Amino acid sequence: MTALEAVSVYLPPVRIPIESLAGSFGLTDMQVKVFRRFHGLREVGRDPDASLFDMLMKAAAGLDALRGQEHRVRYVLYARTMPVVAPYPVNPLHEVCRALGLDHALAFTVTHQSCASGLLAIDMAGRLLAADTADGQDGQAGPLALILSGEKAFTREAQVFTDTTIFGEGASACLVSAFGARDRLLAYAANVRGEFDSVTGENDPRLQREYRPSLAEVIRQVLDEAGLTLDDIRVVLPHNVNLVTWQRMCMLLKFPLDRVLLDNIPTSGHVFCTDAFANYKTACERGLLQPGDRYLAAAVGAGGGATFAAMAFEH
Amino acid sequence: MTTVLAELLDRPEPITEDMRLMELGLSSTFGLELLLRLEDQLLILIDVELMDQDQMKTVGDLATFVAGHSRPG
Repeated sequence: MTALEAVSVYLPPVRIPIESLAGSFGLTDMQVKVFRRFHGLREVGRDPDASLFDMLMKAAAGLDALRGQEHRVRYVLYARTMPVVAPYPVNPLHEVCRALGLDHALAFTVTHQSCASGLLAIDMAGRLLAADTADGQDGQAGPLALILSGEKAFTREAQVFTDTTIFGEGASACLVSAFGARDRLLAYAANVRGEFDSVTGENDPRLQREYRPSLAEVIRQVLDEAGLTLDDIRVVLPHNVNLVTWQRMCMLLKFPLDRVLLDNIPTSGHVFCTDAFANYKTACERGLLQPGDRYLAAAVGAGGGATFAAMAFEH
Repeated sequence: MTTVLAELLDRPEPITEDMRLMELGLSSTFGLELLLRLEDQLLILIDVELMDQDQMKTVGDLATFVAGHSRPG
């Protein structure tokens, strides 16, 4: 069964108050106040001296479980919100693979589900590894996949969605095995809605109406597939889009808000595909997950279509 | 509330409490801005986390919620 073996997250120490960014975003004073008062966004991380390569390397540097195990890494998946992040022929993913001694691994980017691509990458990595059955089911010696996430807030589109969220910089590195015992993946559900394409924007009002019901639907679907109910869920690791979305999600799901890990929204903003990994680390650091606890990760990727995704795990 | 709502929507015609928010063009984004303006003008804090958006059909529904779920700010 797909399992998370180790997770490392890099969030820049420099935090920028959203008021300082409002001018460059073209936000009105009222929009900034709405972000702070209702969306719960106060500041976001920025690392102006770090390139994308630097940030990914900082995340990987914290992944102690990778040291000495590089030869076992068969796949490197880079989960990303933005389809293009560097001018050709620069390729941060391949640079990171070279720097980490992972040239031998098959490396590729997963980006088509925007901010939900991180969950897709976990599922995909597990299925690729499971298909390599010739290597047996020994979690200690079997093949591994490395999932990277992280982005620079380098264009306006990568900095802010005017009415919804503000993006922060950060990165993560996660080792995945096919048959591990830690943080086992119980179920994954995703609903891709191509009609919600932000390029035309013609269905934006409908997306706004259907956002929460659609996310609730995949959460219920993943619970069904895992044979669980919401009562079994110790904590939800959300995407950090904003506070009010999750307040309303909890209202819709009849799930206690204090079991949704919202700690990182005020200080980090929405860190692209890194949210789930950063929130997992925070949950562990706060002692919210005990062995055997079941938890959910949930994300919505909006952009070229919308993807609603949820994953159930056992810690 | 009707005064603030008319300002926000830049609507010269009167707004009454039986009007449906969706038909007035009040998106969830405008809705949050409306609540913020009400907080500023009435010096209150509204318990937004208790608001069931699906129950907020009309101007009157929203006004009733605000009246019952706000405290001095």
